[in-house]
Amino acid sequence: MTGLERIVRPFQSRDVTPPQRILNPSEPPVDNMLIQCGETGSTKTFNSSYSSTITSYVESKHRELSRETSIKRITNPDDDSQYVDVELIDKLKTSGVNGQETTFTYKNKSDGA
Amino acid sequence: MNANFTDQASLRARLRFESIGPFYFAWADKNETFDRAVHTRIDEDIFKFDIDHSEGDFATLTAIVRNPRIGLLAPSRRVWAWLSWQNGADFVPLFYGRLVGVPTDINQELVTLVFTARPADFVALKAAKAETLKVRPYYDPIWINPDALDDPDTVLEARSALWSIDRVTHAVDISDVLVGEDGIEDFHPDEVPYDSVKINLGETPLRSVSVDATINWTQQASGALQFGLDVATYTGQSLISDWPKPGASLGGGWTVVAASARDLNDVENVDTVNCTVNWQNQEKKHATGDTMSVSISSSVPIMRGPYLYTDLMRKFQTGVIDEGGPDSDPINIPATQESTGLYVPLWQVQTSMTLKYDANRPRKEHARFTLVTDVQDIVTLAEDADVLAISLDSQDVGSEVAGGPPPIGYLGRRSYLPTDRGRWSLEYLIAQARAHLLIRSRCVEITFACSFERAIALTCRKNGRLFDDRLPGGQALGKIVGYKFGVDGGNGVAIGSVTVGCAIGYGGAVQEQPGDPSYAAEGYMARGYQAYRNVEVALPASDVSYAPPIDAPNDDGLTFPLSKRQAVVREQVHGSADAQGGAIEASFPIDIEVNNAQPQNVNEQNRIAALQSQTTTEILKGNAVWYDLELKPVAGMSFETAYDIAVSQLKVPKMIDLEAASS
Repeated sequence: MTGLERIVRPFQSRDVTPPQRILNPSEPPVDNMLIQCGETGSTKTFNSSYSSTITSYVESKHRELSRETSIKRITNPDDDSQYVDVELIDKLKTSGVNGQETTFTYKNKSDGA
Repeated sequence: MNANFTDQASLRARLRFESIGPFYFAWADKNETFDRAVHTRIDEDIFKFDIDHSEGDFATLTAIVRNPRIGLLAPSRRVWAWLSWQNGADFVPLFYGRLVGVPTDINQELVTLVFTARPADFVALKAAKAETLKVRPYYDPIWINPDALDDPDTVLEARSALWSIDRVTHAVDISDVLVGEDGIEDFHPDEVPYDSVKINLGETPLRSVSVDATINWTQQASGALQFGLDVATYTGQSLISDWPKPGASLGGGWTVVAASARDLNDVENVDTVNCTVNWQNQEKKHATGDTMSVSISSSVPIMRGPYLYTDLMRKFQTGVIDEGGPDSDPINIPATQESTGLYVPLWQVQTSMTLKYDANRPRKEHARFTLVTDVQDIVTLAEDADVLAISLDSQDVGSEVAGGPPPIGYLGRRSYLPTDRGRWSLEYLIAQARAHLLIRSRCVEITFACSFERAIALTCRKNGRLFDDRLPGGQALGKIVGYKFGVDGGNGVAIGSVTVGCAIGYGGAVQEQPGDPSYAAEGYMARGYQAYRNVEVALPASDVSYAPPIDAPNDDGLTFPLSKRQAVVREQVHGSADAQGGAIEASFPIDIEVNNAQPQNVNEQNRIAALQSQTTTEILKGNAVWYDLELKPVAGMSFETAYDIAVSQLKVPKMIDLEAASS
């Protein structure tokens, strides 16, 4: 306005209003981004195993526990009055190492042989 | 032209131009400059001429000449002409222009020729001048329609100015509608016919202009942030398997660029070593007590790092040999050992992750203000009758505008208006509102007659001041909006007239306010290092000022490039290996019990089933060491911010005091 009349008046400063955000109600809110790792707490375990066996020798000795016998008469074929009675073992039960019982069954011939 | 003077014989006599002349009319070529030796000739006999020039328009010459009986518009003829006269001492060019159209009454003895002072290369001259006017604050391409960027008239949208084309030199420029660039012509009562003074009130002035302008851009920024951890855990498997994979999109504008997760203890690749040893005594004769065989079998994982261990089962049998006797059996019990165990390894997890953000947020800023002016009343109107509302939308300030770089500069900026470039855009808006107010403030027009000699010195780039007691305040200053002058050979009258437009403000100016320093006293540091409050910036004309908007956008607060401090809402490792170790140790008895259980009934089975949920692997699910990262989103949202700009009142020149008395 130089060249024209100019009256300089004290200038009245004004308050400055901070900017206002205009919200759009139709705009959906945006959630924060989340990273969560390891929440399930899975792991890996391992198993070990060990076994050992050492065997030793023991002289095997059987102890008779019981026996079943039968008498077999052997007659002189020429003289029926002459005969001998022989006791035959049919079954023999013994006890061995660690008390292990063993039963022996003998198959004796009918002629006593 | 010379009407209305019949009742003023004396004045007309004084204005009569009997002793002046002669006038010269010379046909010329395009762009031919005036040469007194060449153009002071009379190519046509002129009986009367009038030159009329209105602001913003080309001057015209209307000449009545003797009919030359030739084809004036024939292609071979020159159609440009110089009109000049001799003022007694020198030759003065009055007009240079081009013949326009077919002369009227070509069958008569006298024909009327009309010339226009439109430069031959007016478009180029106007465009060239416009380029020089594309300056702050009166031109900002962001507010110009892209299709109109090449339109030179756009440089006037924020200026209170019109194009000005000199009737003699054809210089193309602009001229303010209130302040003439070429000075003031004073007219005193003895120079102006008394009854030639006419005052007209034009359109009512604007009181205020409300502006709501919208600036658009898309805030864009990208970058990467590093994350990672080095943590000991007994649940490393889930931590590693869950760790984000490269290329994964996480949402919210975040993607995984690179990621790795490894276990320094390499638990996943732990090998289990199986070992079997068998030995047989091959001797043919044996004695009691001889070792006959040895058999060992083992399966053991080879751990590379720390671990927790518990036996699940362990059985021993001491070897016994006795030959027995008569009453006792021999005894031969082999020595045996059997065990199983559970290993829970400790993972030493090292992870790294590079997250890339791609911010893409449409932003919109509103610059809102109402520029008010205080002008004198010429009519009483409703309060809202003289208010203009302007609504503008900017081009995308984040893109190239008019071939230049994006006005916002860095696309990641949160705001535009508070920047220096943004203030330019704001100043343009204020300038445009100012232009509307100033143009509409010139609502008093005064027309009066003057002498031919005064009139030929007028241009539409001058102000005219008329002193007349009949005017309010005794005088009026106005911008010359038009003038005429001419000579009539019939009555010998050579006279001119002028019309001035007067603004009806109250005058005054605004002063810039440097503001109050917000940190240190003025002078302690150079300006620019600290913020100032209450700053007021005046536009170049010093008739309006504004308070620069503060740079405090009301948004999510993210400033690009992002730092972790800004982006991270929460980054936390939950749990610890120590806590897990305690839980594991506490669960080992359960593992042992479950492992060795031989339920004999339903109740026992139910009890063991219940214990299954308390074994080591189960309790670790509730005692995980896990990583938790929460980041602010950088995409998917938009921001719209309104800046209510404080502007001063526009000071309009007082060119006529309508409130003053007249005599």
